[in-house]
Amino acid sequence: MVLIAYWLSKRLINPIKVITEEVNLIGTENLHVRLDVSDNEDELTQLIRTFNNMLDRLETSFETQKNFISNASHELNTPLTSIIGEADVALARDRSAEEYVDALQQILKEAEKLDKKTKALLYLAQTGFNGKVLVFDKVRIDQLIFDVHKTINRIHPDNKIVIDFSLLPENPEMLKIKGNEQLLHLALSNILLNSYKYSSNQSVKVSLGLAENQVILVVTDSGIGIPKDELQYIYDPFFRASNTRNFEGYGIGLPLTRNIIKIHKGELNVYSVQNEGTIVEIKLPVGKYTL
Amino acid sequence: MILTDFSIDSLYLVKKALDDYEDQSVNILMVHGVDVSSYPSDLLFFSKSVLYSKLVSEEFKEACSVLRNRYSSRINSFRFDFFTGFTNAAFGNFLEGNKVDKIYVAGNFQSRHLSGMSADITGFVRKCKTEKVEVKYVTSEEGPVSGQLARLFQMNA
Repeated sequence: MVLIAYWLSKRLINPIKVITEEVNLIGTENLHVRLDVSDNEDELTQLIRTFNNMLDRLETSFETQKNFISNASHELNTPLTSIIGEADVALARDRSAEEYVDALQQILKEAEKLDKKTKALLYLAQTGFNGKVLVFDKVRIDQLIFDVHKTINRIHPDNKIVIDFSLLPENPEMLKIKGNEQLLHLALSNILLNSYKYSSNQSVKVSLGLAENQVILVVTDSGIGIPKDELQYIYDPFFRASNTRNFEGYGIGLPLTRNIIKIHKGELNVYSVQNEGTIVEIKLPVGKYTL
Repeated sequence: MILTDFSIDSLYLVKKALDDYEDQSVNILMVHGVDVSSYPSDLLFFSKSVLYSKLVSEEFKEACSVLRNRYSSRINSFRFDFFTGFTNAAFGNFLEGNKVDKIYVAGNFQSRHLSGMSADITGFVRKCKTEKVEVKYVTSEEGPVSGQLARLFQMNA
């Protein structure tokens, strides 16, 4: 009797001991280690699988952060190198007033680029934070679309953005969501500016509708699209698709937009066919405001 | 009544029907043909609600919601049903029982045979006495958003 009990307890405890030892080996330097998983379907194996999945997510998260930091320093370094180079050359010997003015203008241009990049990065980092206190209030999405359209009209008066409200709910009061207007404005402007930029000024359509408990926003363009095998990378900070060489940009807009949508507990989906166009679908949960 | 294969493209027929009845309220019935086998054992386990949850995607349900909210004052009711009969008479009874005034069928309807059980009932529609409207629409099965909610916003009434 005692023997059976002893044997049983060893059988149960042993695998757990093995796991404990293996887990102790895992640290930030070797997050790639995974626990051995057998083919059974028992609870312990499921636990091991869950644990391995968690390690996958942690590792991805760490890699993304490492990537972000190295990408960020590279991105900030480039204009700085330009500025230093330009200044060095200008000071190397006596130059004419014109040459100094030229050099200073170059330096100013690069400095402004640097300024924009750091602001964008800060924003990205801030929105990635969970602890940041944001003001969430009622936001009418139809009004938001009008506001963003106005903003873009100011920057690019030649835009061909068309607002399609043909599927708007009969009661537009229901288009209220609980959110931060500035962030949502930024998110939507990013998407629309992208569509405008990569469409070589063909028309861009913004449609709005209301499903059961979600506001659906769809932005359609017929621009250069995104290559199929690069679609999975579009949310990586600084990623720029291979067909964007003729267009200026830093690759920060989309990751930022996705963060903002995530903060609002929404969904962002991008569908695209290269050289045919891109469709961006944003879903946001309806605010529980009594009408 | 609208024949559907539960594709978002088929909702174009709903839009068309609603446009045709601009100043009245309508009862919409979406019907999908089903070939229920005659084996008693299969019949025992056949359930419309199970079939519904198998065939109807979340995207389709959301797209229907968008339409319902858009035309809320004009839509009296919006229902789904399966027609499981196999005779013209049975179809006639189905129409009568559901008080169908008009049937909307896609002119180029090629039902995406969704399950082994889906049946093509356009034959019954053609032979029945109820007024029919044939609508031509273009399905794009290969478009980037086929099957996605965004497809609803691409279709032009």
